[in-house]
Amino acid sequence: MQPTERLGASLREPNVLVIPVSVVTPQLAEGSVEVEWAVIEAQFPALASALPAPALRARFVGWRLQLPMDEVVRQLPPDVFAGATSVNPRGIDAFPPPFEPFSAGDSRGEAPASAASMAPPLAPPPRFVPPAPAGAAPTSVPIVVAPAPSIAAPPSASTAAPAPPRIVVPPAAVATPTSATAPAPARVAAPAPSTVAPGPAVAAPRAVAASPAALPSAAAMPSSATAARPSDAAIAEARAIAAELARGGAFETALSARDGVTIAAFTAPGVSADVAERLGRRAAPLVGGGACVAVRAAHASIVAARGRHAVLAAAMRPTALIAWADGVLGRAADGGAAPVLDDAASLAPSTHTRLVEAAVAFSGVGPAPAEAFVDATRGLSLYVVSATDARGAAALARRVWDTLLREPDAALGAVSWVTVRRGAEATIVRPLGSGRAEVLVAVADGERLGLAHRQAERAAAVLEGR
Amino acid sequence: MSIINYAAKLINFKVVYYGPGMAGKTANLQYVHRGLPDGNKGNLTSLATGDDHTLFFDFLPVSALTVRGFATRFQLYTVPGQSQYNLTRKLVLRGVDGIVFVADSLWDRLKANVESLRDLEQNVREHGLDLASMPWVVQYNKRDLGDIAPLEYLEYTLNRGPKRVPSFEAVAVEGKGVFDTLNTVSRMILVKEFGAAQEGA
Repeated sequence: MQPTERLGASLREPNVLVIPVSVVTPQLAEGSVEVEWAVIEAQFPALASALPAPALRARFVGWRLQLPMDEVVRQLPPDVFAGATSVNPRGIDAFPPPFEPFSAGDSRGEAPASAASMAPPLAPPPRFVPPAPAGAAPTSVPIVVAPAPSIAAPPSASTAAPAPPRIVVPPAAVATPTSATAPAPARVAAPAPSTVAPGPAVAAPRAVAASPAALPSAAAMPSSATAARPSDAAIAEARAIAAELARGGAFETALSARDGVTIAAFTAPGVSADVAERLGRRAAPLVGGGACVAVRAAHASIVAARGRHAVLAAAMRPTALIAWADGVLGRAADGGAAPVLDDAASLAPSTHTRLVEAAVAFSGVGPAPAEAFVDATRGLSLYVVSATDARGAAALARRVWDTLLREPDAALGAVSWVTVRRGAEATIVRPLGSGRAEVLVAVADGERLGLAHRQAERAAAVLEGR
Repeated sequence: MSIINYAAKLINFKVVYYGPGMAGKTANLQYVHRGLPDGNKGNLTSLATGDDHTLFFDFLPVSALTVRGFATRFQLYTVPGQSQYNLTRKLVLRGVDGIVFVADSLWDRLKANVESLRDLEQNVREHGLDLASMPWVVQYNKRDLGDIAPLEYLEYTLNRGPKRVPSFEAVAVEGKGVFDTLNTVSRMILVKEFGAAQEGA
């Protein structure tokens, strides 16, 4: 694999750079779009350049990367550039065309001009491709980023090789030219969660505001014996996160405080309204100590982390690019203690006939340490590929199983994988499609998560006998 | 500004083909020159560098219809598109009656298009004119190539706002769209000179 391919595969979202719409739209009329390195830096692995991140920032102050316009433009909604009305200058029909080529019908190449507004086009014009719907992967096109160091990746010759990186503009609301300087605002609301009973004197608030700053005050939140009013600090934190998320797409924000846990739920359009709150609550036991949990499932993708004052959970469409939310919530993850896991000693050693082969598939370069465990109480088999503490990874995966996998959530659908990222390490828990309680547990470098997911998928295929 | 020769009953109009370097301005004039009968055209004067860039300007006089007893002649000029020749561009724009902005449709020339259009607006302003009140059209050239931007986006960058102008797709080297562009800007000039109610003769 070429270095650029490895870099592309190691991006936070494999082979994709997520660029906020709010960065793109104000520059569209310029014919070029640039993005500051600081905006996308978090999506690159730490070792992407030869310099440490602080040194890179110091050396290239104000470094901006030029985006490939073909990639950018074709991802924008078609109506962004619509509205061109026919232009027919007044009075020109009073004069015949002053110039006639040699003769009418002469085939010297003259064709009816395909005026944008006056005549049909010469040839089928390139069509706008609407922004990739949530369920469809956008076409891969090489990214060209300047100035050097370039992260361009040539199209791979092998189908097994990763696709080159793409620039992705999240399909959020795009401002019209006249309002292009304003970032696309998140639709922010503070609904009373359905599970929270409003207090007798307080009507269930469902205020829809135009900006994250318009979250309702704490006084407007409901209260009951189990549902408490979110703290001002939690509301302020939710506002800040909502504003950050809004740069990458539209999210609706809801706050709920119950049983001592405050959930700030950020829900993208097209996702069941309460799935973020519910999954955030379920993921709460996993997200202490700076961990960031990502879940990819059939009906939604979830990212959760524990902030200073609330558990933060963002829900997006199932194939949405989670890199932006992952970056925002990952940076905010600093609250709470690391989860205390059940005694790992209760995991008994086990075997799997293809475990070694799966470990090779995961490492990509040769044999890797792999162990199998079984939890007899749960009937759960765990196949762990890890160069460090395999038993500890299995214990973490068991907690993931208990909190997120054992009881399916109808709104979430079948879970493809769960990733727990803490510091430089990421643990991928991937349920196997065997119909039994079996998971692959792959511990990887969190800075190269995209590549790790790809390799984990290969390892899972080996274990599943595919 | 049109030049009227009452003795010869002749009106001269000046049309300038403007745009970024290598967009196809000279190709437009070359096709016009090839496409018109000998009696309607003069010599094409072209000063090009070795790499096909226009060094100073191209010039092609062409005669057209008679209006109110006056023969009309259009003098077609191009400007050098490269940024370092701005003084020449400014000079060529002096006395201009109409403008064809030749845009390059290639993705990697979009920024150059926008910069050239701004440069045009500025240079026209320095001659005491306002592009919005002048006859001008946009031609999106090189539509036969593969790596080109959609028309909608080109319009968005170069031709939007309250005062939109006619625009044309073109393949200037093949002549596609060349005469439609020229005829439209010429008719716009005639309307401005004679008024919409005047019939050509």
